[in-house]
Amino acid sequence: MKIDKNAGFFWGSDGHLSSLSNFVLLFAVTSRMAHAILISLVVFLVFTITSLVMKASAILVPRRHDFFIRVLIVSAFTAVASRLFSIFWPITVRDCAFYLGAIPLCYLSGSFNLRCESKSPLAALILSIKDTLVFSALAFALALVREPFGYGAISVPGPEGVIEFFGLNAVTNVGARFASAGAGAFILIGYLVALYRKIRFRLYGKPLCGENE
Amino acid sequence: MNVLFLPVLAGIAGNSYLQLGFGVQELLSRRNRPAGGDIAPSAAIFLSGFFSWILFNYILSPLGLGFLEAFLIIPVVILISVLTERLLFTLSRKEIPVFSTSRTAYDGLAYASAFLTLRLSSGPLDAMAVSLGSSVGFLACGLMLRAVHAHLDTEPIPRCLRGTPSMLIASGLIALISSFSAATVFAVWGKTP
Repeated sequence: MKIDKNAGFFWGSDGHLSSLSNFVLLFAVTSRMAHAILISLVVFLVFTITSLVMKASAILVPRRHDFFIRVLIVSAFTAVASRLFSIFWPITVRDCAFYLGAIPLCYLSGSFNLRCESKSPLAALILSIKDTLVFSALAFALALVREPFGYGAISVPGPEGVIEFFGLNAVTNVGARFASAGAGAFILIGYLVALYRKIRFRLYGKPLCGENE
Repeated sequence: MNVLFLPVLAGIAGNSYLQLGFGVQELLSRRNRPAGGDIAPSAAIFLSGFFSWILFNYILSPLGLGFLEAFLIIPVVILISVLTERLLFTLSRKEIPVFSTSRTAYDGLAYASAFLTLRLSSGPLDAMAVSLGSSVGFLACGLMLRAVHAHLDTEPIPRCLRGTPSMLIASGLIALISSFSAATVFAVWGKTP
């Protein structure tokens, strides 16, 4: 069995494809690249600032009320970030409002915020940056597969909605378009998790179907 | 008529798990647990939807504080989920399970219910219908996934597909069926969501 060093972020049990902690965001926003870009930016801002603020204010926050203060802080930052991006991309923010609201839950459900607890503010900041970059890379990769099949284009957010590039009129097959629907996302992520396990087994010798997986 | 239409809309076409992707950790992690474990989340889903609507429409909006919805919705649904769980487990004199996800509003299921209720309802009866639809939709998903898992356990499938991947693929197929069922129901009903 190979040594499990550096397996923490992506290949470890806390990885996005192991714990499925941000599944709802990967499921919903990757049908359009524009939505994936917006959510990735908001996640990046909210996760890094929240972890930094929580670390900096750790002495002031009573341990007993730690959880609800964390809920309020992450909800406040998400609301502010959504308002900020709605200045530049109002239609995309409106389209993603439902899933923007779920960002605090993703922060709370992931083991990421627990891992930050034992670290210094700088280490927590670096950890949150790495974690959100891994999430963004995954979201972009899924959007690059789902959007061309579903919409026949790649989109970016713009002031008047989404701006589409590389229009592919060839994708008219209903079966192919199913990749961008919710059902397609379940199946695509299901196969992606299976592939991930296979590669993880080859690289680190971790079991193909671990406990609670 | 609307009161009959809204639960179908929330339970099938807008199912929090199958169509919106919430609750994967909640539903897939409880595949080995008894069916009774679904009572607390389904009660929290119902109460979060209904009470959020009451709070935002009857208390905050008249005070001119409706703009706080984006900030308050998550703390409110988490609070309702945690309190519902505590109340139910206190009444049944059992200990709260260690795997409980009430602190994340049951992996977003309660949030999805609250959001849908706020967007789809125009009165308290509508709010009750949408929340009830979300709650029943969750219960149905739990039952279906438990049955699917029981079958998948005995099938000779590759090891890398066992557990979560096979459940996700099965969920995708159920989602596809539910989409077509919803479309058929709405076509027969003569309504468009």
